[in-house]
Amino acid sequence: MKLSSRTPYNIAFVFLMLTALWGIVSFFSYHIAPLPEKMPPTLQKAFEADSRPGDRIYLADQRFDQFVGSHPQFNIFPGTGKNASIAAEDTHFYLIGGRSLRHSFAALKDFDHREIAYADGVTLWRFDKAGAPFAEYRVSDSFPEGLTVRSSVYPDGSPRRNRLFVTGTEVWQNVQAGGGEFGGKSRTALSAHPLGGADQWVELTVDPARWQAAEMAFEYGVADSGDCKGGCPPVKITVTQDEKLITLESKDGQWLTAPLNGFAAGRPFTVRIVADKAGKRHFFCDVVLRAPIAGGVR
Amino acid sequence: MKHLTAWRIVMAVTPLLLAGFYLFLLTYQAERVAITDDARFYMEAAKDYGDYLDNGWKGNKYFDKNFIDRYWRNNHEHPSFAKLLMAGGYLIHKKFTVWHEAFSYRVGISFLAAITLLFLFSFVRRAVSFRAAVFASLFFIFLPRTFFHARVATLDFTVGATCFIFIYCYWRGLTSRFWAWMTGIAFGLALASKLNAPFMVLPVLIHYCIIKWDDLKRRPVRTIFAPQFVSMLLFSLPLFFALWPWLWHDTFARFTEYVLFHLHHYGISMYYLGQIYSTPRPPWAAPFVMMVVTTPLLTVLCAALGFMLYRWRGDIRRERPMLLTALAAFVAVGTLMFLPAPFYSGVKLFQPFFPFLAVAAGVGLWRVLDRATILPVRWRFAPFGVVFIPVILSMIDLKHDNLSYYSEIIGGTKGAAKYGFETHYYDLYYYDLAKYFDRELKSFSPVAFDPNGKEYPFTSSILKRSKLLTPKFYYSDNKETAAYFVLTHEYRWREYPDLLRKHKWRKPVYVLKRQGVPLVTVYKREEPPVVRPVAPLKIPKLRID
Repeated sequence: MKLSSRTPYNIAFVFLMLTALWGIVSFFSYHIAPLPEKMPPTLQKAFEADSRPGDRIYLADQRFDQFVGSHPQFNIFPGTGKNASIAAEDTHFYLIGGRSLRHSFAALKDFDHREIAYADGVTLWRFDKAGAPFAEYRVSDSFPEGLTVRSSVYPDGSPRRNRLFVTGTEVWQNVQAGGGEFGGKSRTALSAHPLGGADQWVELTVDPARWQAAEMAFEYGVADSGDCKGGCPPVKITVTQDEKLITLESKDGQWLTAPLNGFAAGRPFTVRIVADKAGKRHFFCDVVLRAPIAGGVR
Repeated sequence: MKHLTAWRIVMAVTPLLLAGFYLFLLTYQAERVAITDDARFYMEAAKDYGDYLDNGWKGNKYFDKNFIDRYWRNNHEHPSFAKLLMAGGYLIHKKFTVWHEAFSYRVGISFLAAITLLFLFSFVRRAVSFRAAVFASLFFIFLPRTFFHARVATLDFTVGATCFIFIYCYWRGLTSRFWAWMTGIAFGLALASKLNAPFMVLPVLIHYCIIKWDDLKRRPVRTIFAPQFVSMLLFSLPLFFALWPWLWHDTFARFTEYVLFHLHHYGISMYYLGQIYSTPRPPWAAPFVMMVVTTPLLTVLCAALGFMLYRWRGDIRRERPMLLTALAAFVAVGTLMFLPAPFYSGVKLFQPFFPFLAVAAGVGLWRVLDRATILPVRWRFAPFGVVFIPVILSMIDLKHDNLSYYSEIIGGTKGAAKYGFETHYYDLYYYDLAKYFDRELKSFSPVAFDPNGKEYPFTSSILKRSKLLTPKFYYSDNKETAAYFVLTHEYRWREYPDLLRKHKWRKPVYVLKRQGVPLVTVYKREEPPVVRPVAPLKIPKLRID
């Protein structure tokens, strides 16, 4: 049977009308429908039951970015396209996305993943690196949980402003989670600018009990932005727990690690930060807690 | 006879009505269009150029080098035509104060847009049909991104418009001596608009070679030196220089500086499919992908159908202009796809593509409706309006922020967030944000911006001069002490995800969203609780022995 020369035009006409109809329907049903501003309660409960403080949650895409601000107590990473490659460095993390798992995450070969919860079009997945017994947590990941701050200006405890700890009278005298570059490599840690003067101090008290860490380490450094090429005095750090004591000094532009061997993981310890001169001492530090993966090895 | 006269009136009045409608849409509430990051350069330059025109006649100083340098140094890395259009609106504002200053720079561009629509209508009506011309004009009006660019004081719409007019003149010049000579003038205006104009010579040359192939073989010299090309050789560069007083002195050095600036253009970041690109630039297909996802789906479909279904080869009258349309569209987007030119900011850099897309879409829709037999002949064109409904709904919903427009194919702005596209471009000072500060600020208040605040002191100054922003607003560099902190949600800035996390504990006081996606969030500075700091020097040293 030979088709009429008009048949393709009739098909195109119907196709255009159906596409227009679909466009109208999708406008009302999807384009102008609100995005979720918070995690559905089911998801939040499931996550809280399954995780530890500071557990990383990656967002599969930007649609869920409002979760970062609506759940500040969680360690949520905005939905940049690089998240899968960043997450590949972890041993254990969570992913929030739409109904289907994003290809870049599904392609993470070394990881086992399973769906924890699904509600209102939002899915929570858990990813575990096969055979990895430990997950690494950083105190900065769950800031300000597990942390109290004092200073020589506020010896009874630092007040909070914009959810950061105020340690002095200048605007830069505070403790907060922030980003810095060390030897050209950027990282997020606790920014704790010293106050300046041998008798002026900032003191962080870290309570690692909730993580039940098998190993702990203290990380620290002065960021590249504060590199004086040896022209500034180092930041002096003292880490103490009961009789246990470690003294350290920073090196400009270097991110250093000091294992906290012998420190009890179930009790608080203190980190005191002092610098003779505070100028350009862009000091950052963090505590790494290596803890068994919640729920055991998978 | 009476019927024929009525039809002629309709033919004459319709393009004017469409152009008037377009101009109305472009200028209606135009003060509510955001100020873009680059518009502030061009606005300031246009102000200077306007003052040059205004002040120069006293003492006839137009040719004086010092006088020229004083007014034309500003933004001398870009040619002048678009900024002269802006300066025209500014001069009217200066003399008569009939509109806001910010609007005054835009009205010239919008007026050019309406004129372009007349050329577009004429092109399609002469090449194809009256109805196709109406459809093409509507497709052009309802291109959200182009609509935005026709309402802001930047160079991009102007170069798109002048390139189209140049191609139009060339095509009319094939049968009209007047338009043939106008080709050089139009090309000169295109050259004086932006640097991507010279590439549009390519479709003209290819088209001319194809349609004049036999003549070229028989009478090569006479065919090559057709009036269009002679006109281009004679008028284009002189017009380019004439419109740009900056080049009237130290011509060689300054022209070389202009060319070198663009040959070594600094990299501008672009967020594309979840990755940030600058140098190297995004993948070669990015301009095409951006075109597809930011153009209404039905426009793209109609344009494709126009070429796919109709047998142009049997219709020589229509084949030639459609070939020219296809070549021009391909070159406009292809230069960014296949040449090592910088590419950023969505579809801003290939605006010359869109008039040709509208032509193709209008012709495509006309072919489908004209030839389909589903509807009775009398009603066959009746459903044409249906194809515009989705885009009109989106444009109304986005208010004036059409740089957040993404097509149905990826699910609008929300879909852009899903697939890793920038949901708005770049460092825009939104009208809604200005209105928020108008309502909110009760006293002089410093406001800081991140991740990139450096454009905002200038754009806020223009808004304040235009009385669109409260004078109580002042820009601050200090994000720690500012009373308000504005986070613009732009993934092209590498630090943006960290900033979002850094401020997660702060409670937003204002969020500007489009289609559910946050574009701008404002935080208010929290005062610390009153805790008296102790006097220093009283603290015992920690024992470390």
